[in-house]
Amino acid sequence: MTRLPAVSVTICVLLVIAALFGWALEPFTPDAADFAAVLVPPFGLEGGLAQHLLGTDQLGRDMLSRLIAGTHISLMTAGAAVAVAGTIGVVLGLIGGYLGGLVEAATMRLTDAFLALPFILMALAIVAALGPGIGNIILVMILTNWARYARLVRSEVLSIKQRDFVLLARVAGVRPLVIALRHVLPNALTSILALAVLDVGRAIVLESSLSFLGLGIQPPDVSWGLILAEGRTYMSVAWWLTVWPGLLIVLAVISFNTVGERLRGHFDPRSAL
Amino acid sequence: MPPDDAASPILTVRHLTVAFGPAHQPVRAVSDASFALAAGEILGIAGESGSGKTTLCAALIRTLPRLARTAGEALFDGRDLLRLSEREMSALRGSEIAMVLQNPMTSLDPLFTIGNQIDEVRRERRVALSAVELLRRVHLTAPELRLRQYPHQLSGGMRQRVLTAMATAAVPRLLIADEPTTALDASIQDEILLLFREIRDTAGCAIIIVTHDLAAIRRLCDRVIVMYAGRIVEEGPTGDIFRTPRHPYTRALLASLPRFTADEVILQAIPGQVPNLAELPAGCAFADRCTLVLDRCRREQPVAVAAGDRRRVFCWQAEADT
Repeated sequence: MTRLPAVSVTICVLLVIAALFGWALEPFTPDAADFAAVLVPPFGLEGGLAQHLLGTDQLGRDMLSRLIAGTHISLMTAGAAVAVAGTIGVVLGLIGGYLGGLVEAATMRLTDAFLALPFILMALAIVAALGPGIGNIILVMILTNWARYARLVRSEVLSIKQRDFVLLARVAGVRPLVIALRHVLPNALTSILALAVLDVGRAIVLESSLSFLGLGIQPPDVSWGLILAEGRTYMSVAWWLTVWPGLLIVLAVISFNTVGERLRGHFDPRSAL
Repeated sequence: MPPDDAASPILTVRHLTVAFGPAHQPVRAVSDASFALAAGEILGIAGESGSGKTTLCAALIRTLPRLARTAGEALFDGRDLLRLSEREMSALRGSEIAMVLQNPMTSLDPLFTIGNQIDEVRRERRVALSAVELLRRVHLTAPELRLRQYPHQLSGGMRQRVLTAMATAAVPRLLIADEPTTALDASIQDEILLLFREIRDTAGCAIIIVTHDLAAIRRLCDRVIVMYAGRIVEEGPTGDIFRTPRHPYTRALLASLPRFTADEVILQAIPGQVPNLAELPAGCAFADRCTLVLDRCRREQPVAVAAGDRRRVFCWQAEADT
């Protein structure tokens, strides 16, 4: 048994709890303005208030509540995007790599086409055509991300299907579909898992970037990137508006990467000697 | 228990040719191979690397790369293995025809336990025997423990036993073993060879063993085929071939076995190189390395010469002698 990194696991668990049950933990309604308490610094600093632990923004909204609400949207969009993009990519990569020939050529050229599209342009085009919103953000991230899974899985499948145990399964009369699902896919899984967990971090950053540019999450919804973008104007007078969401993004990405890396080692039976 | 002559063959290979590359300049890995295998017979195929032994096996169980072209026929039970559909072939594999691969270290899926992989074969082939019984049959110690272990926890010999158990789970009528002992320690090789003989004696399946280990053939096989540069050069009962080899290549091969005298080991190599399969001469491929070469050898492909009881040799010199 490899030991999991305690700090990263704790952060990941806290973030997931905040994302799932945050609405019950928020001390205030995230979009309730309070003009009597505008730009209150975090508790403990001069002028800080105990009921606003992390301070308030330019409209007097409680930062802690907004960050918790942002966790929900940031993690859910990232999770959904990675899950769907990963599934599409894995299925196409497996089919292309395993069958070879024309099927492979078709899936891989499609993959190349999608990899060639610049992310921001694609995002602009989709938002311009369909309008901003959570659903469209997820769509953008799926469209720009699935190809990387397809390419990874296809390359893994190409090497795995040359291995002796696949030949053995063939000469033992195991049906091709069973071989693909029971031998080829599981052997590619560690790489897929590693990419997926890395991608959660990437997706959080992508969503934040889009929201920062105004193409992503729209008020009254709230995400880490949006909080960061809104706080930018007040950065010189209220650092807490940008530091908290920035810190959360960094912590989340690092924690997911660390846990993902360790999980990958954990699921590999060869490391469990 | 060599089979009697009356036994009808379960496998008849006629003029099997496997070619790669462009049609106008083919590289023939196997050329015009013909032989028959009786039920319950153990046939050894000997030859050095590149002589076409492995390609021949791959052609029989149809795992050749897509670009390979095959000609001729291989009748198994009256059905031509070379012309069966992929679906029909898939139904035969593992049930009627099974195979043991060369490298036991890499032939098991590292992600699953031994039990899991044996059960997969049992399910696919509806084998009634339990996994423990299958492992007992190949004399694997502590079978209950092995079922829970992963491949990397087993030694090479144990893995080869597991692979043999999987290959023989459904009691095939033909077992093809491609260099089954090459990757194993010398002390384990013998045990695996004995296991094959035991399988033949109990299950009655015919076995084709491909190897460059002549000692293994001598111990195990009823009959031998010697291949050189993709062609069968000599065929006959093991004892006869080892006692009186007729083809110059067979003689050179047997002479190259290390001999131990009081204080030294004599190693006699065959001078020259195996010819490039893309540039085979018109005549006998061994002519350039042969000590008994005739003019005719360089011009014409030798034909089969019957050399005694159930023996064939492809050599002009041998023909001249008889």
